[in-house]
Amino acid sequence: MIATAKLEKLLEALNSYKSSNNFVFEIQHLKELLSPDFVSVYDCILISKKSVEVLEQSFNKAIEMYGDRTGYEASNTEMRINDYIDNENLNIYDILSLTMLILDCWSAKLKQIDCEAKFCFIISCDSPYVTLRYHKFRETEGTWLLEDINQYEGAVGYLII
Amino acid sequence: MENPAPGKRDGDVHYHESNNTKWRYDLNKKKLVDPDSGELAPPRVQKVVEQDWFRKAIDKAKKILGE
Repeated sequence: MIATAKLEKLLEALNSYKSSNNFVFEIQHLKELLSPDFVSVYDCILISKKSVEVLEQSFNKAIEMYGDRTGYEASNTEMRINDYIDNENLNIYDILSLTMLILDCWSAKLKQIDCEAKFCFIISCDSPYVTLRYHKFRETEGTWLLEDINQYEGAVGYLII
Repeated sequence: MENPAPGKRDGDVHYHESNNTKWRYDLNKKKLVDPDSGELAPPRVQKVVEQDWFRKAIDKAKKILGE
């Protein structure tokens, strides 16, 4: 994981963190977290409830709005993990721990969809909130983030798989 | 509001409904739009744009984006 100092510190503490908290989910929310609706459209894999046909129709407009495929994907695969959990007594380490598990699930699913592609997973934390998103890593477009991760003040990082 | 790579990519302002449906805020149109097609969100959703907390949030986002 390429991460800012703030995220590195959180991940380091996470290694020795033992949670005794239970997560409370609606089953539908758990499904959306672990196995969201991945939709392939013109070399993008989005998280969307729309059909491929609908997304194909608006694809050119989307690229115009977001600048490129990377921008479109990163802006439409974003998931704020906290929004899918019903209990509020969880701390940042609980959420981060779950986020890493979700990242593993998404990675496996995405590789099933496109085993040739590399995916850039981006984690950002604004305690107590954690957001996960991804985009395909394209050499021509680079990552969605600034090249120098240390330009971010917050807890941000990415992992290319 | 997200501005992941100033100078490299445009910032993005969006609104999530309580059911996690996402709408993008079009700074030119001053309306919420579909994040895929850019089409206007339905009136039910658009109502939020008139609310004080939303206007304040947009003003704050615009300052951060330098608009």
